[in-house]
Amino acid sequence: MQETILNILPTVNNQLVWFNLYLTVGFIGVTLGLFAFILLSRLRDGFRFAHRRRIEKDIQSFLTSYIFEDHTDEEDLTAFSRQYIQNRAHRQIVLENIVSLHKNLIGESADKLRHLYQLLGLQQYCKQKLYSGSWHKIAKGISELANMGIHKYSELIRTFINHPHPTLRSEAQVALLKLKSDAPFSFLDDLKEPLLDWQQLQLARAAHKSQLLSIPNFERWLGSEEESIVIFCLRMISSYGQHNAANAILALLQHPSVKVREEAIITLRQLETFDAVPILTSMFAKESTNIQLEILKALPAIGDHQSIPFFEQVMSIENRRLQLAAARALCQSGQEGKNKVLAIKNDPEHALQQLAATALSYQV
Amino acid sequence: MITETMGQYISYTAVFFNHLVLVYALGISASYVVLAIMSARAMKQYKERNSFVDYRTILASQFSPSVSLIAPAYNESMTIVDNVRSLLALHYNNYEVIIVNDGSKDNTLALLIDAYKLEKIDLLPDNQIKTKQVRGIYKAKNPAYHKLVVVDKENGGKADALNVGINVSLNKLIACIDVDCVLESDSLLKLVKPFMEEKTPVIATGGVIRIANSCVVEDGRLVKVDVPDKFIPRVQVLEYFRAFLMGRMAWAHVNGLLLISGAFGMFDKATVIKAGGYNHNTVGEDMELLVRMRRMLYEEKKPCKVAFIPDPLCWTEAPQTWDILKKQRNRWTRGTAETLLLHRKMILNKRYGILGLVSLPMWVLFEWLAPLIEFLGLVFFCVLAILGYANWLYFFSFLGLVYSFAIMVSVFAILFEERSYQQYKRPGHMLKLVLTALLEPFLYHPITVWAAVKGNYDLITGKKSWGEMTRAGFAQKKS
Repeated sequence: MQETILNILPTVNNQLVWFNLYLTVGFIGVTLGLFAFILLSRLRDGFRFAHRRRIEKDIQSFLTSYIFEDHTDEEDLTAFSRQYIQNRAHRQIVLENIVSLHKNLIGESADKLRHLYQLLGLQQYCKQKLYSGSWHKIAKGISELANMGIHKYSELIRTFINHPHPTLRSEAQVALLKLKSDAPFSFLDDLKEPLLDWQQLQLARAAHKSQLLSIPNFERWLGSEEESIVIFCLRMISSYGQHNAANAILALLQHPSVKVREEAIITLRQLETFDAVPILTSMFAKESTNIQLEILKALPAIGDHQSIPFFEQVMSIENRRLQLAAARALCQSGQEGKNKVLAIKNDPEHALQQLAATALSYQV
Repeated sequence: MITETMGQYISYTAVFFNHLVLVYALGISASYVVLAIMSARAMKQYKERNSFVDYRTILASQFSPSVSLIAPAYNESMTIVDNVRSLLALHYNNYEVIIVNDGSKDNTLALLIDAYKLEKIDLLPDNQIKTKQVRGIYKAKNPAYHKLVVVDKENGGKADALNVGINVSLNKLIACIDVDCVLESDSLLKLVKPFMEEKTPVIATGGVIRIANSCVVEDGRLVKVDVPDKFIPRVQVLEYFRAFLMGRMAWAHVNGLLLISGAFGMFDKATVIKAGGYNHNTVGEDMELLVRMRRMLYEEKKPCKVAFIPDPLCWTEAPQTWDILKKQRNRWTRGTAETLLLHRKMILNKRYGILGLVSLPMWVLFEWLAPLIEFLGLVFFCVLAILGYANWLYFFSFLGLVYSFAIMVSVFAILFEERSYQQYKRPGHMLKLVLTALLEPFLYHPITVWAAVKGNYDLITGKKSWGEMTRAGFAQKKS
């Protein structure tokens, strides 16, 4: 019997032992390699960091003297170019420093820095990035050109606004906003991809920071087939207080998209569009709870106390969230509305007594 | 007396087990390698994308989504005041902090009332999820703390406390955290972003959890990062590297993530409520909720995404005694098993896409069953050794294989940390971690395997408790 076992086990295991040993040696080799790589990469990173700091010190000193001194020696410029622009890695450091400094400058100093950027051929270098196969490089190139205010390649940049990579799309859109001062949002006409919330935030911030002279009438895109563009424009209308778009926004209350209708109600609230009151109350019954809640938030902001009977009516609907929102709306509809909620709160027999107390006390 | 038939039986079983364990070990190793490769790719893409991100865009915008931060607190008097202060100081504009006192036996609530001058308000929570009785809701009189809401309720466990927080919350996104965690100040900004940048609706986002033992925490803020002094939490640093940087990053890359850590995760409130909120009847409520949310959306044929970001966002104190560690791992095992059993219908079911065909089967094989198979293998080997049938040469060669692979994976995880966020900057830190990796398979791993086996036993015998988790707290590290 023992023979049976020993006959089977060793024959299998002798092959497996070698298999295990080979793999073990392989794993140990890889582990040692990884360990060496970690050590070496730490050393390399430390060296690169120190080297970059040394170079940046030289570059920044040159840039400062170039901007703030009246005259820069041609020889100095040539020497700088030879030392830092010929080498690809150094050139990128020069570029990053120029772009970063340019962001913080205005007027003559900014113009001088832009001139230097062109003189050193960095504009061409950035343009070349736009032909790269990597989205990352293209986006970097676009960002650098936009930050340096180089308008020349706007049309080339425009070709990326529908790129499959969202970050590249976003960089192209922001760049066009910065570069096309006469029509900063014209790219919206050609947009086929959805404008993601993150891209909307970036565009809104870029528009705010760029202090655009020509703010378009965003009403123009409210008829777009892409719902994210409509939502973005509603937000912009609200941000820039474009009251003249009120009628177009009111028309959006019939839009098939729930998101668009919801955003339209928010915008009407923020613009305090008085004409919206009858439409909002009439559409209330057909809408989902979320839209109904938005309506109950909007009405007291735009309708003063004319909607009080409506709020009282909503409080009789068997939906706790709507009842609470209606009670809050009443509280916000002047003293008359508040008194009605107070009366419910002070009536111990009233079914909505605790809800009224909640509406009165919870200040959001 | 062993008969010849029995001998044959033993020999065939031994051969079968040899092959089974070897195939299993190779399978689990291959899964690690594949996950590591996918994770490296995902990490590279994330870093490239993030090089264009300025989080001030979210901070400055009125259109950023609103967030309710929900933190259940049970007997947290040691650190609650500082922790709440740090939560109130996070960099985000549109958020509220909801502390749910889950019937603490100590003076947690009294300390909060006193420190933040809270007053009881008349608020009827929106009971969209059924919970235990709420005793009272408090808001601060001082406008400086207007973001703070404290809810006092009967004790009902973490899941129930989180559900109460969801009922009270006013915002579209909810971030559920352990109140004793220390959050990075920009953690909300980073966690919110995936909800805004995907075409497919994102229903949850998780981030990397880090070990805070031996780090210096002042006033609820992390001011100095250090590798834990003690061996047990130091091994957990490696475990967390492997789990978060190598595992979850890869699973999220293929939209197969099943778990957002209960320590810190962000969810779409509407989806959470629709799915029914946290489950009171499991100790793995974090995993169960996410699986249930995803299952519901698969059944409704609505595409969704669960995102994961590799940035260090949340620092937590890891168990530093064997006893507490065993309780934690026991609970994790029960939680995993309960979730997998509850949603067994999804396993190998193509209706649930990558979740049913890949994620769940891999969780069953390599998370739930791994310690059981390991334990059975060890028991079987002991039987063979006692009977004198052990092939020691094979045993040592296999041990060498498993050990060398384990070390390789740990060193690979350290490399991930090095090339991503390098929180442990001193060379000494890295050497300490490598030495820990050498010791882990012998000193630490057997304990966790035993705790997992015990967890399965407790599951069968119907044990439901969390097990008391005492923490040393960060307070002693205050300067």
